[in-house]
Amino acid sequence: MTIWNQLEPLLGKVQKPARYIGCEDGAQTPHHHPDSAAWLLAYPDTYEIGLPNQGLQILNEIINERADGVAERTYAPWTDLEEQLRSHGLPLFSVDSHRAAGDFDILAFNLSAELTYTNVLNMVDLAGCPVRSADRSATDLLIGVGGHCTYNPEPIADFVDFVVLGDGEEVVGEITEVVAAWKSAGKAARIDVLRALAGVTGVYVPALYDALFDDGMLVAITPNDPAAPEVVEKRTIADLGAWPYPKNQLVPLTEVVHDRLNVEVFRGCTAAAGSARPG
Amino acid sequence: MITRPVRERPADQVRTMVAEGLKRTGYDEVALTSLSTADFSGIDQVVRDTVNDPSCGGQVSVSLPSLRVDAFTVGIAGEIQKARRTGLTFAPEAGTWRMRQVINKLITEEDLYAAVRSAYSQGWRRMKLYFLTGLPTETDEDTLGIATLARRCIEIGREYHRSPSVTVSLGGFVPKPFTPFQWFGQNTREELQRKIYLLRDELRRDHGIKLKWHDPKATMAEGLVSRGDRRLGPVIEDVWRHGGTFQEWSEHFDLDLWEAALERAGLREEDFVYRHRTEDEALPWDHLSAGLHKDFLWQDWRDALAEVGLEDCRWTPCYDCGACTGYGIEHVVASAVPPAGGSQGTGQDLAVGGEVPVVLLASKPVRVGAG
Repeated sequence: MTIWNQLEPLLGKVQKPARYIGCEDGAQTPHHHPDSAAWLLAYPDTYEIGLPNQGLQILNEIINERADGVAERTYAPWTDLEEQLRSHGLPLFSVDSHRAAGDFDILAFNLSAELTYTNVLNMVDLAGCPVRSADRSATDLLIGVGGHCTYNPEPIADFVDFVVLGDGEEVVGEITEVVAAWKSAGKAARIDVLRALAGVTGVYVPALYDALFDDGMLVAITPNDPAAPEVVEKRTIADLGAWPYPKNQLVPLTEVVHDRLNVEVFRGCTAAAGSARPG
Repeated sequence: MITRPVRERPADQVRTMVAEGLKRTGYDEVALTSLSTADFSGIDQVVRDTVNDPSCGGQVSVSLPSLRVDAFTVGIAGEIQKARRTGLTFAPEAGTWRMRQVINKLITEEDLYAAVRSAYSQGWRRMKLYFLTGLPTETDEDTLGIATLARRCIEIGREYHRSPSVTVSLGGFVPKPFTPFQWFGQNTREELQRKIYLLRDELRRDHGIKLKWHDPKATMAEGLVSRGDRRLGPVIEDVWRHGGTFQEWSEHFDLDLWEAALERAGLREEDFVYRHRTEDEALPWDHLSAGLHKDFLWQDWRDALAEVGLEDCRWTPCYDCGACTGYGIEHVVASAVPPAGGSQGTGQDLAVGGEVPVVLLASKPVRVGAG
């Protein structure tokens, strides 16, 4: 359900209200359906930094082309709007149709910088979802993460339900199938969907693993459930040419970083073995 | 490194995406993105075609965003005619050849100066040089080598302009998972600060050279969560519960919150950030696979310490890192020959006549005003 009517009067009280209205050229307003998996794709920093993120734009298009999935977008509200939302009892919302985050099935973050992790927790909380995955029930959001930082997801293992390793183009469809099937069956037990997600190659479900320590040192991280593989392999799309996304890059109404057409010409990195920022 | 193997988009598809995208969006600038775009083997042709496309009205600029523009051939820039002329960024990453060999950033001083000379001679006045400090085996000589490079760039610039400027941007090195430096103990905050001040003092009287640096306190926090394990969960939650949001923003970053949270959790920075890790200890990401053999990375780490550089494996024999073979795919490149002046330096005749406006921007987003 849209919260636009409650939100709109608040936008006059905050800086840069254009961050929250959507309406970009290329934006979509997908039709939600009880049997389709609804993704709220999030960037845990401001709209200006998150909007140009190509990964989220690619996934947004791929999911919305599917019959069993819909996707909308959200970004971290600046502190002034957060204050307004909390004092008015309003939740995190999508910028596309201003739907409350709790009306989605999945809240999935692109993690490109480690210092945004506290924003992830804040947005999960603003979404009305318990921040620790152990405290969530079947009707709560599934919290997912993907992107550069997920090669070491352990510091946020307590807060996320699933982690995608590597390229998202193919795996996002497989996750959509799993969640749509679980939703159609009535979302009985949360552990069922977690187990099913752990069966998707490239998906790591931290709750199905235990971290063992001895004398202040990590000893091993091992599965505690037969559904979880001992080693989770990253996903790699073999042919970038098969994925010409985004097809309709979003053109924002307000100033953002990288405000231009972006075309990804290759993926992968071979040089600079010790690169500080490996791709 | 994590995103090996390399997969290129076919040049024809790039052309189509550029032409149709420009038409639909109305943008007059297109960025060809990836970590190091000049390594894209079809780059010359794509840039030439885009700039010469009459349907774009001859008003399109092309950006090549990259933190690693060593491969950038200013020859490519010769194809880009109508761009706005902002600054040009080069990323030597380290101040001495010895240090660049350790990080496998095999750009020679001659190559860098040739690229800088070409840029100044073709109209640019402002250069940005991107470096890291706190690299493995770094000595003060390496740190001060940054000043030497910057001064030489200014000297070259004076041959062409009255007041050329160089901005030296200095980041603190944070080791990342699934890289050869995943075992390296990050420099302490104090050590990074000392090196930054060493360079600042060295450059104090240099006109035209400006030094900008990343706050070592934030570098520590980034290191903490980059290679930490599940014990960091309560720390992150604690920082958040005490109001620590937008920690990427320098005006919001608060080290006190992180230190207090660590103390409450009974943890020490030292154990997660500064300590060198051993070959036999478990790493928090050992149960995940990015396709790279741990023993390859360990060997690379030892080689880095021995200052052995590896060449770009797309064009030279395979080093068996594991990234390709495990997935049943080879590096897919659009052209059978390496681009002129590929990863190993610019290596091309840079004296391309005329104006060469090009926009080179760091891929790390520039923070826009917070409101």
